[in-house]
Amino acid sequence: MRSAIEKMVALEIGNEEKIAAAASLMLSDAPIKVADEITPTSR
Amino acid sequence: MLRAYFDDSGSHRDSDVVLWSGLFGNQYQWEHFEKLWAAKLQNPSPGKVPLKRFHMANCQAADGEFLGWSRTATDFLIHELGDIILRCGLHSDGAAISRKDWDDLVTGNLRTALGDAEGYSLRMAFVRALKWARMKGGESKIAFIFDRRKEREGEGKRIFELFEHYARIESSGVTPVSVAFSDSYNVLPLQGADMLAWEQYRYATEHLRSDGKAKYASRKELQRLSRGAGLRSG
Repeated sequence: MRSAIEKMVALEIGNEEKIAAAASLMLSDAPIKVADEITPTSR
Repeated sequence: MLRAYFDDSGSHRDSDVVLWSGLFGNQYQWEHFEKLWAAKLQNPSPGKVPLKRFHMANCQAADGEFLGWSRTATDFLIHELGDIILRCGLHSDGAAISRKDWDDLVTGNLRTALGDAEGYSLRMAFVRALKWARMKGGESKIAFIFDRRKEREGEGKRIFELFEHYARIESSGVTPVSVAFSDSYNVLPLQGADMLAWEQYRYATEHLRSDGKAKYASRKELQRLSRGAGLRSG
């Protein structure tokens, strides 16, 4: 189980911007609005 | 309409592993399941009175409604209920997460995005049910029903809204239509999900404690369900 998590974390290296955006979805009071802002194709 | 029912196991803080495990099927499979399961609750084991609800932990410990039951009687009931899951052709999936490893390795924004160990398993519940729906479900709409757990309802609804939103933007062929947190006394499929969650939790704990050497479940009931049903865990 540990190695599966290690692999997943390693795969995310370099995706810091995307991860920060995903984190903002989880923290926002209006996640759909945030999703629209960070996903231009949704407009 | 496809329906995916989920129950959690290992959600208490001192547990090494946590998971949300699901049972998936279409409306006809669930109608059949509910009929068979309700009949089994009425006549659970020879000489036993009807049950209000099947709960695997109580059944295994012979307490609650199972107080005074012999191991033979509880094993008989579990086998019979497993038969119902197999006869209805339901699929199961669950993502078990080691709490300690998750806490060690997943930090910062990644943790905020993916949640704690239970939160990640909850996210994977949606991912795996949607994957099953696309690959094997054969229908275009799916409803999610979770066993009631107040601490996770807000998070579950937020994740559902995001999956629903992204499905509108870019259709994958399956639309998430609803999410609910319900009571297993009233919603019989949640009792089936409870049974699978208990089995998968037990196997995940064995796997963790053996340092990954336990490649197969030691319990015969889970082996049987794995052979006969589309059961997957990881």
